[in-house]
Amino acid sequence: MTKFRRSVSLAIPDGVSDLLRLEDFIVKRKPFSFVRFSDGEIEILRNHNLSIMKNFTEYRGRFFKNNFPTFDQKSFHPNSQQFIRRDLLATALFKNEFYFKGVPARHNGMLADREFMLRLHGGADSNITFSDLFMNSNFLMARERFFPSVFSNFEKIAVIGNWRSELKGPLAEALLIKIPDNFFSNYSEVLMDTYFQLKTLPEFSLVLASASSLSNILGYRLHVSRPDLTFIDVGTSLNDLLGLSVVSRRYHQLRNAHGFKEKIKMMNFRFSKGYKLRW
Amino acid sequence: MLYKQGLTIILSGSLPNSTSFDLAEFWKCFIQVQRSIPQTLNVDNILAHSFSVNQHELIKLVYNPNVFIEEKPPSPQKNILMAASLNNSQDGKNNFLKPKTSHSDLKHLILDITSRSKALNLLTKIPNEETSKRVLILDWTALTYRKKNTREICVDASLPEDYVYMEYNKNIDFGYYDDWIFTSWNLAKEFISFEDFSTAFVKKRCAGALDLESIEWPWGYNQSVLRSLFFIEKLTDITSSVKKYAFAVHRRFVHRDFFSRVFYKLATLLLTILDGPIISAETSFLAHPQFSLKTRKIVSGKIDRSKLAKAFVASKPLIKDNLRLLTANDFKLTSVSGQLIAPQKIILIVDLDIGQSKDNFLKNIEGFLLPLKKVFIIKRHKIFEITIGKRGKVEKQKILNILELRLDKKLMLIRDRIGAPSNKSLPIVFLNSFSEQNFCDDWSYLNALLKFFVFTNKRLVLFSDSVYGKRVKEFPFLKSVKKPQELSLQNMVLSSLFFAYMAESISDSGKFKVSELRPAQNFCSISGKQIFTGI
Repeated sequence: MTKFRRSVSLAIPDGVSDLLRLEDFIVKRKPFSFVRFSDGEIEILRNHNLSIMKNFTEYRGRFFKNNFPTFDQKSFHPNSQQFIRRDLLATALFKNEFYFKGVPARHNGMLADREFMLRLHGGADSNITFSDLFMNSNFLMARERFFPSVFSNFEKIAVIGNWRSELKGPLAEALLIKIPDNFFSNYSEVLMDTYFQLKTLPEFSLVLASASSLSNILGYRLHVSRPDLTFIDVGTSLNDLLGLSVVSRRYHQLRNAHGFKEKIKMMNFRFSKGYKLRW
Repeated sequence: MLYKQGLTIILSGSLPNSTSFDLAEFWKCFIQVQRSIPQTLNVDNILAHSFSVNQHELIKLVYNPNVFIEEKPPSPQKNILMAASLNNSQDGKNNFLKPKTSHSDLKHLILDITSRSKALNLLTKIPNEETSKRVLILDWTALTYRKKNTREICVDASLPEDYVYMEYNKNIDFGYYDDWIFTSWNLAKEFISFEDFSTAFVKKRCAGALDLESIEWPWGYNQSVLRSLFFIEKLTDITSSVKKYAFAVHRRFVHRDFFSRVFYKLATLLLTILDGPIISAETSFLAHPQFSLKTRKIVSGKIDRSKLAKAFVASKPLIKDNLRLLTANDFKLTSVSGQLIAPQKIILIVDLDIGQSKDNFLKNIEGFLLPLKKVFIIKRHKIFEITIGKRGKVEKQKILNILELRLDKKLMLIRDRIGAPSNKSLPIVFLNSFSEQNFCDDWSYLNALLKFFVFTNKRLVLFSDSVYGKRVKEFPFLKSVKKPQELSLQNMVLSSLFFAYMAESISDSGKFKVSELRPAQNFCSISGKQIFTGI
């Protein structure tokens, strides 16, 4: 058989270098958008029923107990909430040089979802990275290096967060745009209201979003209409600065493990399968 | 809910000649297409082209296209056929993974592509209404192209409009599947030149002048022999069966007890192995940065549709940039998925149970998705003759009182009331066991079955699991019964001719014989599939 062989080296996403790449954009004042697709967003994209309610989660047809705080509650029903899904699909399919998408990967045990997201993106490229870019093994670096750099490079910061949020520390002076609990039930209203507030932000502002799937949709819309803004979907990585539950996720304890028992737990976490970001 | 968007369906390709070949794939495709189109899309236009002669009647009956062109296939150019032999000789040692391209294969390939371009050309001849934004491009037998792996089309109204959606080929380095393409009106027109591209491609290949470097072919990796085994058709069948069982285990063991968790995890592991992504430069990054991609000359080997499709897409930046590859498992269908194409008009006769009320039945009649020319409701000593208006509402109601409770009298009265000769060509659906809330569990199948019934001039099809017969290849779940038997009234489809015979011959106990049918008119039964809830 006639063969035509050629060696091509491709880089694979690496948690640390991707974080440094974004930091470089911040330092060089190049606006960009980063949106994250985690398990909840994937469920909506796949048109599955999703319920994260008090004490229970419905995920892929299975039910689990949970201890998520009230502001994390949401539910998506395919038959009545296709508006959200349509907007989320537009976000997932959109491609641009300065538009970065975080997708689940091997360490999340979601290889099929990684491939699904890559196909929606139109194949792999350097705009694809980890949805856990600020979490797990990257959490400490994100909090101790990346975010301080972000805060010091922007004067005008807007934060999209739950209505309970009370901005603290370096975000104390930022503008808080509040969203209600489970915004899915009045999605269009919340989207329009938030979008118009963001659209009028001063030039070259920074937007930090911790608003579940709304972050993805706003990130895409703002990237198209206000390319001068830098938009970062921070997920739950800045919960303490938003005055929300300090340890709602396991990785939060990496900075809050004080007692011996907690330190042992964290040691255990560091050796667990999902800790290290793996493509 | 989303607003309704318009959809134009474009059908093309060659149809098997029904006299020499069965049309099973055609019917399967029709059923699948109906199941896949969401109700949020409005089928505005159906444009069709075929190189098959004498199938006009079938296409008209089944799809009822707005524009349909049927023409004789042109004789293939000599040099195209030559390409097949050259192509095979270039391959040198053909191994078992690389079958040869035969002249016949190549001829059909080019004809199918030409037919698609001709069908797409029809887009330029009809006005692009603002509402009709979406286009679904299909072959007549699209979903059964690779026979063993029948797939669904991924038509999702929520997908953004300005993209091209095609099926993901797991072996992506070897080509794209273009059996179905879901896209926008404007992008669909880009595919018109696929014919010119393919003929030029094959000619160049024949002349040995194909410049591989000029085609931006995405680089793939060199497949291991072990991995290649997954793409042998027979093994693919086995793996898909194993996957089916693994999914069933997933659905069954959703609880949190120990054994459920063990089974669930085992099934997950199996699925991870079978569904493991193919590492390709096109869809995935490599697992290890040190591992370099070893590529092969993909355009070598057998020329097939998927390779041509991939080469064509690579040559069209507008398509390539907006191409998104999907699988049928990517999105779960909602409960409002599926709609009927050219629903078959019928005459409905229902024999209500004592517990069923006529008013309740009529209240739900809008839920009966097939157009009803006439409805006859038998309720003890009364027969209600009902005319249904265009919007599915009751237009006229007439009560036919009969003094005798004898079944043959009732049926004969209905036979006389069926009326106009045009009504006599319509199939009669007789129901005596059904749910008023749901009527039918699979409308797409029923619509196809009725069209098949009309097209093949069948006399009687029973919906029964207790009548044994020989499987008919032409239509899924259909069995042909040769043995004469005495049957009781049950859910069935009948021709008006057979209904008249049945009305005359039925006994007081409600039994009728089918022995009067000539051998060529064997009656059929549908078994192994639930169609009417209540059976």
